[in-house]
Amino acid sequence: MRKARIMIVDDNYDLNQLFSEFLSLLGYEILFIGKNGKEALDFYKKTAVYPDVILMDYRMPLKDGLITSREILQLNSNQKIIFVSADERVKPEVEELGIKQIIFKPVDIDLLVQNIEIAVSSIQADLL
Amino acid sequence: MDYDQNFLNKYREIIFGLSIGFLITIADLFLDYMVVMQDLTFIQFVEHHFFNIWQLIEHFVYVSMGLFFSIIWWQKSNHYRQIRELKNELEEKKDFSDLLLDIMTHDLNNLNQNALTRAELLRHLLLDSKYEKGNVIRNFDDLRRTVKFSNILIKNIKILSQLEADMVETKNIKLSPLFESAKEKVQLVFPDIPINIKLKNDTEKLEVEGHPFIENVFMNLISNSCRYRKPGQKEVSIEIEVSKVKDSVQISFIDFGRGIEDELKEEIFNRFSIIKPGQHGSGLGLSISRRILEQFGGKIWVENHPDSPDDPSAGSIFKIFLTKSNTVITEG
Repeated sequence: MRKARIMIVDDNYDLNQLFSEFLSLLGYEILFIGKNGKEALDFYKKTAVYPDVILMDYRMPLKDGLITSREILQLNSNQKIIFVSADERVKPEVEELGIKQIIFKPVDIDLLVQNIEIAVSSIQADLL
Repeated sequence: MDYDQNFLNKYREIIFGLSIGFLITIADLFLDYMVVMQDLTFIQFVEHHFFNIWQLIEHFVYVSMGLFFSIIWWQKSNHYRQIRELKNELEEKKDFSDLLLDIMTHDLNNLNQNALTRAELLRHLLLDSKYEKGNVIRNFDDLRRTVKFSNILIKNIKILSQLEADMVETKNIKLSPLFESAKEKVQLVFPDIPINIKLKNDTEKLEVEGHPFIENVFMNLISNSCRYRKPGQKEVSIEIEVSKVKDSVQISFIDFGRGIEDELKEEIFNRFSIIKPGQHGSGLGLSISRRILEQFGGKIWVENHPDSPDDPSAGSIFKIFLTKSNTVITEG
């Protein structure tokens, strides 16, 4: 069975590379890495294949994670988004968008993978 | 002129009260003049008013009452002014403490995240019996670098606190040794990437008025050139050009890295606005750099590489400008 396709959106360049390297090692396909919300949306609007899961940071230049998530969910309400933020104050606003998976930095990779797998299982459950 | 305006502003209530007192006196004189003038000559009228103790007392009372009430009003206003100033000061302090909290929760947490994930990746790599030694060493170097970034961030916070508390004294400093020491310090963070700095002018005897904190600005710029080098770029080359514009100094740091998109050129300096809702920036280095330079009346901004002014991806030129009033140039 194929591993999930992941899109990473974070302005932390080192972390993008690191998550990408680690998740690739674990067998996930990294579909796209965006440095800000604008880049992510531009990609999302053009792509022929949607990611299974998006790892979304909150604070980013040009367009933050909240606005980006809202716009992505307007394009595809079934999109699974995991909010990965260093700022816990954002939680109520994320929940308001209907995003249930929020994890706060620093996060263990095991917890991140666990969340990705939960998101993937919920996609499969939706399909059944 | 400023003093006059400040004086008028500070004592406006007293000036207003005195003016009212004088206006009442003039009105009284005018009414008397209209009523009594028919029976008296002008000289008699003047004598009646200005050489008559009771009339003088009456005028004095009008002016004194104006003065009395205006002093009460002034004291009250002064009191409110002081409260307003204290409130503003408190709000500024709160903004600053929010900023520090924000740096802790965002920037430090991000670095912790990098270090944690790097350590976990290392563990994962080492558990694989067929691990590549080179890959493990690279990850160890990156882990060490992340901890050093964290250390730089803590130093930046310290500088920020000193700037905020106005604990920074201006002194004459030589530029040349600062370029060199900044490069050496950044090289320790990036031991595997040779940093080549080419000074395009002789800056040996050039002094500016500032503070050794300016070294931190140079470190931030050199460090950014290393962090945001092009993929696969094995070494980092930076050209430093110093030019004198009238009595000021412009220092340009030119690199050949990934460059900065036009829409981010101003945003990268705006870390201090993130505590206001809806505005976000990233990183602390460039905003601290701007803050340090502004402390000495300087400026910093970024443009595309001078050889490709229309192509943001060809590298950047960071320009630092130290203004005339704060700059002393000692010609060799």
